Amino acid sequence: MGDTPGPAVETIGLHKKFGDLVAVDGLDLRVEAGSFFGFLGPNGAGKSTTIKVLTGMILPTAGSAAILGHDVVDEAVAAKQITGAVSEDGALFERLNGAEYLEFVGRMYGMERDTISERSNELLELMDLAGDHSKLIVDYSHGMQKKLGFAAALIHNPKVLFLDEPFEGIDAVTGRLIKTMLDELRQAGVTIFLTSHILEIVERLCSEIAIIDHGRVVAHGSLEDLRAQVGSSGSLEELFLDLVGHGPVSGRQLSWLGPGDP
Amino acid sequence: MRTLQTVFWIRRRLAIRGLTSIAGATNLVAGLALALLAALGALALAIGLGVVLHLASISTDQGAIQLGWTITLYTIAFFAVIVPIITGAGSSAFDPSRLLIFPVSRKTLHRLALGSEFLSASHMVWYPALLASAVTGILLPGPTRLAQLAVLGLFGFLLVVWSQAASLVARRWLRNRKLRELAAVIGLVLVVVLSVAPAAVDITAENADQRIEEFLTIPPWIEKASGVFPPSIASQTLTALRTGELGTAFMQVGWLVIWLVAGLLIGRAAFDALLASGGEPVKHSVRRRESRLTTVRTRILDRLPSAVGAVADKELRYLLQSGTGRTSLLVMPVMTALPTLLAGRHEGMTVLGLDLQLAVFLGVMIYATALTGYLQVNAFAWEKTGFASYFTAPVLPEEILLGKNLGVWILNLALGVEGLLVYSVVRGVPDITTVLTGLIVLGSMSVLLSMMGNFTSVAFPENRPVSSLTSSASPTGTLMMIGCLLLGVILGGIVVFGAALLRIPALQPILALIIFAVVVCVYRLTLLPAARTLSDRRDDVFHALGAG
Repeated sequence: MGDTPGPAVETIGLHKKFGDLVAVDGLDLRVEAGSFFGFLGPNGAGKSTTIKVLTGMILPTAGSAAILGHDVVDEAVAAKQITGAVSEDGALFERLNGAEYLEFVGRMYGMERDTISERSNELLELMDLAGDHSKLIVDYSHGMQKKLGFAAALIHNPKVLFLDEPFEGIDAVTGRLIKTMLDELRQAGVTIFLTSHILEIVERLCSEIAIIDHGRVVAHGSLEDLRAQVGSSGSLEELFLDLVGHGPVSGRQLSWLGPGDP
Repeated sequence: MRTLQTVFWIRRRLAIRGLTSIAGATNLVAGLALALLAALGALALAIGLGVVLHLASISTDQGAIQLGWTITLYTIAFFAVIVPIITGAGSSAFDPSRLLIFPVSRKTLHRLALGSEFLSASHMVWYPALLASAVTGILLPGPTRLAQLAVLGLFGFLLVVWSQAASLVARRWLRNRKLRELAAVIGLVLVVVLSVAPAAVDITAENADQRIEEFLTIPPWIEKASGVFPPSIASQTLTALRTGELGTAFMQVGWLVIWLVAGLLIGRAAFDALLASGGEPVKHSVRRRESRLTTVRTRILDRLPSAVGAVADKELRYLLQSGTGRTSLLVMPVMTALPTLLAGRHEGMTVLGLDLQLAVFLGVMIYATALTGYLQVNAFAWEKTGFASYFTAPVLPEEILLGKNLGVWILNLALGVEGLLVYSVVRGVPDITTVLTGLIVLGSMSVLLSMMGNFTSVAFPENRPVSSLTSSASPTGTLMMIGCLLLGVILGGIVVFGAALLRIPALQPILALIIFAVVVCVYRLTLLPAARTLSDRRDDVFHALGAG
């Protein structure tokens, strides 16, 4: 990865609007190659939208974004060639089986059939999906779908990996497997761009963190940098609540809630 | 009542929300045009049955009157109870399972569902026919007996109750995807056969009257066995009331009431059973083996550019698993054999100077294209979250479209070859000019549909389950498909009639090839704009498929 020019991910004044709703509002971001980057924010902050723009699923309204120097709009094919993505909702073709889906993905990346077959077997084995190789994806459990999505994101050996809520709705065994794999990928020099609401995992895994709110970055740096910014020595959760918690919630009460009539 | 108001309020809000976009407004206009076409169909059914009943009613023969009522009421019952199951209209009706979390009793929910059933669009097809039968079978022959109208009304109510019960039973007990698909495929084949069966009566034959009479005469064993079903009971009741046999009529009304109560009880039981399981389809593990067909397909698609081949391969797998794809492959031989057999009785006959055999073969090829029409105008319907895979991969949008088109073209070709084989078995192998012309016309129409479908699929996308047999295409897409098929028929007509007028049969494939070349050129020219539309409107497609 050392010979790769520029940052792994860079956005300059990135905007994305859905009608009147501004999902991403002038986002400036720079993620160094080889880093494990945690991208945090409350619900509706623009995390998934940003990932969708960076992975080419949707187009930005304004601004620019690049993966290892390749613009995601003008050089979309080159940018996607070096990118892997695990989306929040799976993004799988449910009526294919696991092996067929991996073959489809491999061919979409222009890989040779033999290579696809070799890597596919290895990935299915590793993800403990080999026994279900002929089962349709629609019949997979949520965890199995996550694992297959993960396998599909890795089959072409990406340099940058985007993970949108990879730990959501999975059991501890699958979670451990994914964490171990992420660790190995980081050691192999792959840049990992992760969003997750499970802040303990982000705190443990990520070397760099950005927190966004209303489509804008409100804090960016290592955990120590964030602590310095907020002036606190607390956990990431406490820092997060301080930055985007929008005031205390404990004092709020609903006037009609109580033992009276429904 | 408040719950009912709430349900209507939600439906109204959703309908209005659907109109607040250009696509929604366009769909409204197209939907109105389609509704007009459906209304014409319903009117034709009403007039047809009205005429049958009128002819029977002016007779003094009690047997003829009862036969007229029997034919009319069974036809209406078929459209009321069977057709909604086949088309899946029942599963798209009011879904009460979403209201389960609210403090509404199951009894209320069942009533709401039944009330909603009366307003279901699928029943609007036969309501006019029931009205027409009241006019021609009761009011016109006179003297009008209120009792007859009441019995007909009771019969209509009974049909709606049984329609709901049958749809719910089908949804509850046909949960196995394969069983459901099989039942629907058999049902569709039955519809096709029944709809063309009257044509089996050759009205041009010398003894036509006798043959029509034979056709309309119900064999005694069928008459006896069917006597227990509501259309037969209602028919006997109406005839008995007309002839003043009140005792018989009273007893038959009792049977109708028993059927009505049974329908309500079965409907309620199925409703409860469906709600108990949450209304969600049961997932069944499906395992497939690699067939020789798969190997051949893989070898062919291997020769294509990687991404185009991958998309085409995926598309074919989906098509061959889909309810529509499987039904098409099963219906094709039936729809080829029947017209070919019928045309075989008129050896040497010409239609506007065109040999009837050629016309039938071309019709078969056009039918093969029409079968995939709905797949072309709503090409991303089955993708759901998989749609995202296209955009995270390093491929161009035009490669996605080309791959998808290629998948349908291969299915179209398979249907055409299937038609050719069945035609050859039934009538012998057609001459090479006819075969070439037919296949080129099929190719031209398929490319034409893809060209238009590439735009409608992106501009008016609709979500649709793979195993669904209903079209689920947008009204605009459906209307465009009909227009495209008509254009294809006109172009095909130019080819065959042009050559026939010039008396040079060999000109047919040449003219067809010229039209094919033009269509392919236009397709090529529109591919990039269609790809740009796909790229620009991907957010809307994500949203429509429920993936974004």
